[in-house]
Amino acid sequence: MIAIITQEGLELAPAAVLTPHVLDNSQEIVVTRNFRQARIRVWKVGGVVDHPEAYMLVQMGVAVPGDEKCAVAAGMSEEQIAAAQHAAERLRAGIHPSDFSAYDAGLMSGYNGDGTHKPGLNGAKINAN
Amino acid sequence: MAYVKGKGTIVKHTIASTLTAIAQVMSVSLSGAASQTFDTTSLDTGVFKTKAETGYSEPGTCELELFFDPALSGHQFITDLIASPATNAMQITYANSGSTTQSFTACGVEVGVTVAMDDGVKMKVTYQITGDPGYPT
Repeated sequence: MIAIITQEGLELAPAAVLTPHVLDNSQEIVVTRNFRQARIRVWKVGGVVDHPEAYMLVQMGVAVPGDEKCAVAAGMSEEQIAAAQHAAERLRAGIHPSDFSAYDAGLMSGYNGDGTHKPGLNGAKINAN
Repeated sequence: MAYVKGKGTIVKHTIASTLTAIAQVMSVSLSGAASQTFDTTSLDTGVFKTKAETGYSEPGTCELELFFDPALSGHQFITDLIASPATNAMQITYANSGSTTQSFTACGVEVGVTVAMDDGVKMKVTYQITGDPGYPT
């Protein structure tokens, strides 16, 4: 069952088996983790996941179906997939439900360490709480 | 030194070899991690009892409280672990500027759902941690 990754920076689990296929469809990136530079392996956007649970990645909004089997197992319309992907991006940013409207309006894109809002696409910056 | 807010903390579990965020989490509680000791008190010990380390540590548990959506695949994945037990790699990313991350493996899960007249449907999930609980060092 195949799904195509759509979310950037989606990390592979530490115990993921790095087959040649997985290596081809993923890449190592350097991130800040625990205040240090760390190398992690993430799926490439457009990367192909071949896994019995791949349809769940579609349902969780981080991938789209890559074959008929996956599409049937996910059982979602295009609108539902788009809505799931929007929700997944919001979740990845750790957005609190009380800030959903601000995120959706592009007023903020996430939180700074002190809880204030990171500015959204429209450049506005508002304080949290 | 900083006061790190809970808001923005992300908890992930592994689906299809991929760490994916769990939605609608309200609280995360890690507890029970402890280095173990044994009593070394004997008849010739002074007033205070004495202890020594066994060399082992209890990894503890990770408890989540979340608004339960029974139709959400990410939540179904948690309850599926009851019928099909499996270890699961998990990760907590705190909402500080250094993206402090705690990684551990869950082995065994307990869930409970609460439906109350004056509240949203909630689920409490308790994961038993196996091995290193991954506290940042």
